[in-house]
Amino acid sequence: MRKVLTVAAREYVAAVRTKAFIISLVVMPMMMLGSIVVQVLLEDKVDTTDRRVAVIDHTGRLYDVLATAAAERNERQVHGGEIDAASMPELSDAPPELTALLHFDEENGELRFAGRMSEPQRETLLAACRAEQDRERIRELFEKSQRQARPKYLLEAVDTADGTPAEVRNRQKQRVESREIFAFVEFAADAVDRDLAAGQPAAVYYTARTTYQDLRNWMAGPINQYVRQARLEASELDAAKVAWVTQRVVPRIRHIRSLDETGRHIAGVETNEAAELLMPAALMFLMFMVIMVGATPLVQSVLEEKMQRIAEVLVASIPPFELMLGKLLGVVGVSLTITAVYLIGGYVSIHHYGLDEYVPAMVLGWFILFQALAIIMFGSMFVAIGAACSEMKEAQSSLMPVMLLACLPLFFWLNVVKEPTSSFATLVSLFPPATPMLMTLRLTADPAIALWQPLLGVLLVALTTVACVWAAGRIFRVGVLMQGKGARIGEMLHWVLRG
Amino acid sequence: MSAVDIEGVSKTFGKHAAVNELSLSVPTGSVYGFIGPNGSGKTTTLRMIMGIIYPDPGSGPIRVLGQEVFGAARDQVSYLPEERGLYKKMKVRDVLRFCAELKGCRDARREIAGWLERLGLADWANRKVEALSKGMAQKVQFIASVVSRPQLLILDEPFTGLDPVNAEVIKDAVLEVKRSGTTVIFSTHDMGVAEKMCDFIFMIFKGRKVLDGTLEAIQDRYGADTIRVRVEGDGQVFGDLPGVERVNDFGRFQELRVDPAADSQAILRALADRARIRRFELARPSLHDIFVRIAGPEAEEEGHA
Repeated sequence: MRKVLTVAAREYVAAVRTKAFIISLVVMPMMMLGSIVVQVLLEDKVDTTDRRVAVIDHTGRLYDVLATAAAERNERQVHGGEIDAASMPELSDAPPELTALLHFDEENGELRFAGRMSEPQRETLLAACRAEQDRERIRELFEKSQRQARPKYLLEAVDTADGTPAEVRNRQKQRVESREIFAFVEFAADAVDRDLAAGQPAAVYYTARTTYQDLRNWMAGPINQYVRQARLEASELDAAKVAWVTQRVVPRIRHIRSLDETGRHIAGVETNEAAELLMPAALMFLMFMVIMVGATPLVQSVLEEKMQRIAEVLVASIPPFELMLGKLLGVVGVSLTITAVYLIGGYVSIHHYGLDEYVPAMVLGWFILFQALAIIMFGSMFVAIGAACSEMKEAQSSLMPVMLLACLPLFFWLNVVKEPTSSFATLVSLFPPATPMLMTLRLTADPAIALWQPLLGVLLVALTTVACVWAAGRIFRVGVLMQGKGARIGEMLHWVLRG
Repeated sequence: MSAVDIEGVSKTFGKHAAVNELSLSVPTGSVYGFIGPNGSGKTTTLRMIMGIIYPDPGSGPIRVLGQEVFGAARDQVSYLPEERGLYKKMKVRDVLRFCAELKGCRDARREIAGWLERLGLADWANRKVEALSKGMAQKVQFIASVVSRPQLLILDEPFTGLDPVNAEVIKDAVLEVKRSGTTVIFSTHDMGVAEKMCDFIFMIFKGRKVLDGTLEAIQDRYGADTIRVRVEGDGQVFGDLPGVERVNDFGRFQELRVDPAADSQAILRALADRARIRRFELARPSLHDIFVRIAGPEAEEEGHA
């Protein structure tokens, strides 16, 4: 046992001194922080250059509709942006023409202000606010509305009588190519009345950048509103009634935490998707990173011992299985070090944002247990690969399948976190290679899962880990002294079975 | 008592028999030389003695220091591998301490310092292994194998790649270890070293034992069938000398292998007629000569005939 610890200590010290370790400790968090900073910076860097659009309108009606809508949009929607909000601010004594500019989107929980809020408007709204919370929102909206968040759409009508339709189109095409205009749209003469079941498009939007769809999507709004109105009138139906008939009922999402003990709604406590999704994801990705940073160097380390012929000296002093155990133990130490640093850092920031409730202490216990098992499970696979290969290049291709196994949870985690109690989530989280990450994810996510699941998970992972260590030990024993070419899968299996 | 006892041990890799029905006995406290051409099974035998690899099932026992080896690496047995292996990124002192601890030595600090001093490496104790020259790394590796004060020290080619000064240092160190009671087994391709240092010589060829015993005993088996001569002139005077079976020309002198029945005085007389003789020495064959006789191309041909 003492020798196992000697090997573990050496492995630990060697790993902690590598650049990869320092990078994972210092640089990774900085990169994460950096990407957040970049995103925040990029949010302001939306392309706001004006979009000029030519309209070839064979209906003679739709251009006016679009032009009016564009003008209104340019005035009201180009500036500003949405803020996350739980409800409409409670305002009293605010002039109706001003409150009309405030929109609350129930479905997304977003509050918008149409256009650029002026300072007098802000003061009026602030004065009308009943709660300090609402005043804060108004100030936030004011800030947001000051910058141009979207490009303006500038429309121009095209003379449809100037040549054949093809000639007209071609002229606009050349203008797009010379970047004089951004795009052009053509409405068929019967666009308003056409039955789309016929298959021919009623309108076509021509652009050099088909990936940019904001403009087209916006256009669909006013056009359809007009078309619907026109058709309702043609059918002699009451527009208001039809609007009421087709109104959708969408349940509002609120976390049960928004109800107090008596079942009354507590204002201000709503869903917190970011935190609910963020915490589980953060823990899962932390585990993934720790496995990658902590366990993969084992391949390198075993290869070094093989190539530098250190293995011979080692194996003459300590049985191969104990040698491997020592290496695994060292790596568990490394992973716990990384985890400790991250968890302490994480706790400080979580505490700072008051999100403690999303990470119960229990989960951390499970996390550490699962992570240690995962490190040993994957570590033993890495050891076996290192022992079976004779050079790094070769090892890298052999690593592929193991890496895929390790990455498996990343393919499923979104489905699992959305429905942590679904039978799919249960099943996939009981697949041992995926268990450590997915079970941690499910333990963090709401609603809570039954206790037998993580227990069974631990049992299965522990059994798999023992099997992996046992098999890896046999491969290691033979492979670590082998020189020359690496082993094929068949040979490795043979070693495992025959010993 | 013997430090190592092997009886009828075989080891096959796939279909290739690396070691075939080998038996040997290494007396305690001796220096035991292992010779044999490349690929003849030397390293395999050494590895089996250390328990790194197992002999074929059904093989006879391998007893080391009186106990049967079964997979267990032994703290009293140390090994210096042929190809040097040390962690490049570790400091010399740390590597040595690590090796000592792996042999169960908890506090080898004084031993390490003493050996570093003795082999002139004291200033390098805190340098990384990768900064060492090849010779120095070899000396560090040697220290790594002796710091745990083993009862049996196995050296695989300890002198290759060393300059004469360093070879001398290692040789003295080996003899010192031997004087302290350690049994030393070493393999070498340098027959001169084997002749000078080994109490017993063991030769393995194609997995089988071909020589085993003291140098004298081995040479006695071949008798005094060798004549070393040095003549003036170009040395092209030996053709069809009566009784001479083979001439080995070293340039500065020639070694004649003669028919044991031939009369050396007759050869001297015949030679004196042809050239001026500077040296004429009746000798027993050198280990080198014996080695070549067993493993050389000539022996191969005889074997096929």
